[in-house]
Amino acid sequence: MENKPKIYNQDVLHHYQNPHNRGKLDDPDFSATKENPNCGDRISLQLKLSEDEISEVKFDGHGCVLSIGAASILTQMAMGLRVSEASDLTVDDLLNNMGNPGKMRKDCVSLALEVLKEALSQSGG
Amino acid sequence: MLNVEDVKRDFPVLKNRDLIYLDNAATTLTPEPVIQSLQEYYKKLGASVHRGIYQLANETTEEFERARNSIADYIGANSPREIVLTKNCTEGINVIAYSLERWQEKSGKVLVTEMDHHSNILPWRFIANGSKKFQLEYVEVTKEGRLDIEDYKRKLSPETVAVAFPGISNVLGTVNPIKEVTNLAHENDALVILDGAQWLPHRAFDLSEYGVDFLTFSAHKMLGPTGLGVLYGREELLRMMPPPFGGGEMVLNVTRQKVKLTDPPQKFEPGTPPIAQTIAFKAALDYLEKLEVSQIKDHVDNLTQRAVNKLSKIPYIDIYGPKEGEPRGGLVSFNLEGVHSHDLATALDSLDNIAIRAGLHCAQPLHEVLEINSSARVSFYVYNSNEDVDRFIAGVKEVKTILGGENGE
Repeated sequence: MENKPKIYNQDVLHHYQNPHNRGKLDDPDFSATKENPNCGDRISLQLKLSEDEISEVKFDGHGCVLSIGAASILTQMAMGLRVSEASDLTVDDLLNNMGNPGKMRKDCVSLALEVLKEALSQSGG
Repeated sequence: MLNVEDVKRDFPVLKNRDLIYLDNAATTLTPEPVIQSLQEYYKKLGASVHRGIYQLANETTEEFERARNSIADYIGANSPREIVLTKNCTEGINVIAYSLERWQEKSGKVLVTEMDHHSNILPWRFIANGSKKFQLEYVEVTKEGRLDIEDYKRKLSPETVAVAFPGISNVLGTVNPIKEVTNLAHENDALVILDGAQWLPHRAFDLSEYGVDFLTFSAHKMLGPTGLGVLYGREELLRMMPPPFGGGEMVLNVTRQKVKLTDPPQKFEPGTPPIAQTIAFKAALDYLEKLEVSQIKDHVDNLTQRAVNKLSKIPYIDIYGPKEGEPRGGLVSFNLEGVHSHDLATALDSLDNIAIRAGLHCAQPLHEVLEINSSARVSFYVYNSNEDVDRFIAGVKEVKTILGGENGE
């Protein structure tokens, strides 16, 4: 039997229970929302740019430990990045920052990333 | 009573893996006799059916048609000509929907229910969308998770073309009153299509008792191989219906201008059929009959009631569908307050190798009615034991301790 990855490490659980950057921005430059059709999870994300850098980012929505945990961690990763740098973020980058919870639930993790990329695409980045 | 330990020994997966498998409403595990039958086909037979004029083809055809006879007997069909082999239950419903739209002269409503699986909604919706003849309407589900018979009566009329509904809901576990729904439909000259996917695995079904016009189900939900479904249709209807797909083996005569089709069921089975799967499905039906279907029902009922009883005693659990003690198919859908169903499923798998379903179970309109984003589901079968239920319950409580108290909603 293959070893199962430890999906719910303390760090991800902490982010789920105490999400960072959760809420709404008053006057966002760009925003996007997506749903995972398998489970109905929904994440929206708003961001502000200062010149070419992400100066503020917030997310909201409902979902599982991994989708909310990933959104919280992703907003921390994205803050201060240039649009091109943030656009280049991959699911593997996100998984690494989550302590590698395995790929069985990759769709849950990638939801926030897809929302971020959609918001960034509106900026022409 | 079933001897679960004996039954378990027939399932190689349960020997090869440490596993509590509670996703039987999706698909069931495969017993040794079915695996052997598949192997024997490839080792000892292997020709195509019907057209070969040599001994091997003859023997293969005989085995294949013997299996069709067994399927016909299993559901009390009048003749094997009423048994069309499809790739799954879904395909069967699609064949009926497509064919009905082309052949049926009557125009009007097709009724489905809010508790249907997507496989019994989308074929009708696709057909209705492009049709001037058919309009689709949903029969409502009551707060208690039952089919709303009053709503059904209101929507049913002599203009109703067909009524399609599940014998047992794959989310709620509700056992629908097949006879009542069928009789009412027939009083209005509407055809009845029963989705038997969740009924056939653990309940006897006799066509002469229920009188439906069409019945569909899947082999892989009742110990058979994947890639095979059954579409039963009354012979006189199948004779009139045009086939949706064309190809080899379904024709008597083809010229450049004209086609003369064979009789049913071959008319609906163009191309090489799932020969190995069909022969092996007979082995599955023999296995179920050896265990006795009434014993299987009692066993699955006991496990389901045990799960409902224990889940009902946990304060932070919402159960959907029939109340404790009411008839229920072999499944329970529920939610754990504050824990997403996907997290529950993943955590149960990590903690104790317990495999359950989570999500929308291909029944999104029903989740919309229930006003929930998703649900977790356990479903039971012949190799599950009381201990499996108890370990599942213990797992649920442990997951609540580990993951509860979130504020992610």
